[in-house]
Amino acid sequence: MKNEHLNRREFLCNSGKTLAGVVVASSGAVTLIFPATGWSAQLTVLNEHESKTLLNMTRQLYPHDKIEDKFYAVVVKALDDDASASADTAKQLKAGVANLDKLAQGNWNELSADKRGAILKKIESTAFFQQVRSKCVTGIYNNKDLWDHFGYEGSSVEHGGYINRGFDDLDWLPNPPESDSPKAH
Amino acid sequence: MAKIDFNDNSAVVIIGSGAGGGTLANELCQKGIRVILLEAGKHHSISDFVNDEWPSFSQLAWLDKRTTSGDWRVAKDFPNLPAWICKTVGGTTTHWAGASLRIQDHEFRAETHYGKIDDANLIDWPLTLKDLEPYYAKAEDKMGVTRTNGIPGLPGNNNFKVMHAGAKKLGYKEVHTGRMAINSRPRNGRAACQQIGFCFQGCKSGAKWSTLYTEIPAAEATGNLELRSESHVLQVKHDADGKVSGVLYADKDGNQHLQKARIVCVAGNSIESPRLLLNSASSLYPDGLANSSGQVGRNYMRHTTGSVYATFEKPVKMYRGTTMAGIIADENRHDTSRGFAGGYELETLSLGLPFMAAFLDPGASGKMFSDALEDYDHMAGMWIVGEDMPQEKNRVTLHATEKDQHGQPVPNVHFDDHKNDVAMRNHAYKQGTMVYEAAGAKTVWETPPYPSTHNLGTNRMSTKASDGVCNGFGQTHDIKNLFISDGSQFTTGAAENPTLTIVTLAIRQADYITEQMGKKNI
Repeated sequence: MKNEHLNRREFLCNSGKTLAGVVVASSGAVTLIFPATGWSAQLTVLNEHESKTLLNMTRQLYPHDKIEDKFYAVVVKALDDDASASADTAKQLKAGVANLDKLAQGNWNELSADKRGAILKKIESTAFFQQVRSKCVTGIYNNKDLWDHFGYEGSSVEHGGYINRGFDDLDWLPNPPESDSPKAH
Repeated sequence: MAKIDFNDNSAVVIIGSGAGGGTLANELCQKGIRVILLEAGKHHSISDFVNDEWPSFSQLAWLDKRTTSGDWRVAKDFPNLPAWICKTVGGTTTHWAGASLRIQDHEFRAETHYGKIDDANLIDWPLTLKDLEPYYAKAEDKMGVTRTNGIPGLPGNNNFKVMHAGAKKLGYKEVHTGRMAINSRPRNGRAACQQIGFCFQGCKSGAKWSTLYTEIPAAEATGNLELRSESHVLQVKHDADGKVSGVLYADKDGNQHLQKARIVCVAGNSIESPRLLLNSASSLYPDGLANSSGQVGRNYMRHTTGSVYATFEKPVKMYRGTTMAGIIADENRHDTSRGFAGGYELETLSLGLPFMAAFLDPGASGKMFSDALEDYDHMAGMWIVGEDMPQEKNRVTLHATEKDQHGQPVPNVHFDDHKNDVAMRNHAYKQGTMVYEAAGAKTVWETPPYPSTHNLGTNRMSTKASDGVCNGFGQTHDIKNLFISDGSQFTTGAAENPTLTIVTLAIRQADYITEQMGKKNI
């Protein structure tokens, strides 16, 4: 096992902010763990380097400074689930990460953000890129735990809709005349 | 509910239960005519609807395989989803936003009014606004359209306030909360709008008109309707004389049944309807049913759409309240000084966060995109609905190799923008941007067209049998007991959201069918 030399402490020390949640057991199995939030997930297919790369890539694709790593790790976990369900997907993800490193002529993660971005730009038409990108779109923006962050209130019917809860509460523009916008009946 | 035997050949079979099929079924049943209504989708009720975009999409959308081609961006971003329409009892009336506008007089005479336009297959409709006016009035009353029949307009939401403020600064005159088939107060046993904000996901209050809980139960109450859901029609059959004699369909278990019929009305939306006629090819009709003109599947139109979204310093919360909350109608005229024929409407639109991420700029990533979504609750949005040009090459065809779950060739939808479409869209993007800038926008996004919701024209009406598929009553030129009863009848697209006209044509068609049956012509 190539990862056996890493223990958890060394890994956390060496990994920097975005990697704080990637933990490798002595067996080599990767766990994404965020102690402060109580969230963790065991990966089954992706190795430590692949998880770390995908975690960086998801944040780089859809950067939101105030969103914790945990939410990007949810996307990595979803990709690992897909890889676990399909050998083709697993192959594509692993090859995609390897290709990033190849284009980086080393470890893509260690490049500057600008250089990482330039490499992502080069591969944006690949199936790998689209696979990760589309997983982000649902993994981040369809994650109900993040809707509050974006100011989206989700389902409203159980609260009686917005008829009495501010459907027209915007107050920084003039109200239209009643001929154009009648009062609610 | 009626129970009609497979071998009973005296009933009218209607394929599809949306705006066209659902309305036609009720109108015929009210006149004492027995109807079998076949719907490919499941029979959901209002209580099944969910205020959650992706689960609702899985519940209601037509997700059977389709393919795409052409220069439209949908073919790249959503290659297997040319259209966002529904497979459920009630069809796309579960999903529609409710805008109910009459087509204008000049739009029914597009060829006469616009003149010759290169590469456009323009003809006039075989009917006029005057012919339709009494039926439009019936449809508006049936559906409870606001600003008609003494029904007040809906109250405008935050998204409308932004549009209104910008539009007025720009000098637009006709800016209001629209003519909507959404109750502004209780009417006909349906509640008033609660401003829930999930019009596209099935209206949970029933304030929005849908055949699911209006026409279909009314038809059932007559005792003349048999609704068969999860019944996917594979072929329309004909007899030795060439008249249609019934339909072959697969039930929910995949078992096939032959249902005999006196008359068959096709209302499966503008992709499935031509597909069904093409898939019904026989030795007598080798190019498909009602296709002597070669026009079945051609002239596919989808409106010149697009959206404009803008972010503002202060919150908007556009998702609160009706999705289509208001309209700017000033641009719906024909005025070639703008650089194109025909006109367009601007209507507010909002998407929830999950769909905004999928549709704002499909395929996009990076900081600019993230920043826009970071401002989601400060965003306002509008949709462009404009007349696109009918083109013969824009068409629904049968895929050469791909088959669906019933072994039938899947449809391919080909669409290339006409240069008139592009000029109109660019004009509308510019005007929409100016509206939002006048209201104080920080950033403006020109969003490409979504998968099509207004699918039109693939079995069009024409005066001459060589120009189209059916006459002004939707009766096919080739087969007198075969009717087209959905938006695929449209000769041209006009600038207006099509549902009101589909319902209007269905009411008129019911009168015609009844009269023709009475005269024993069909």
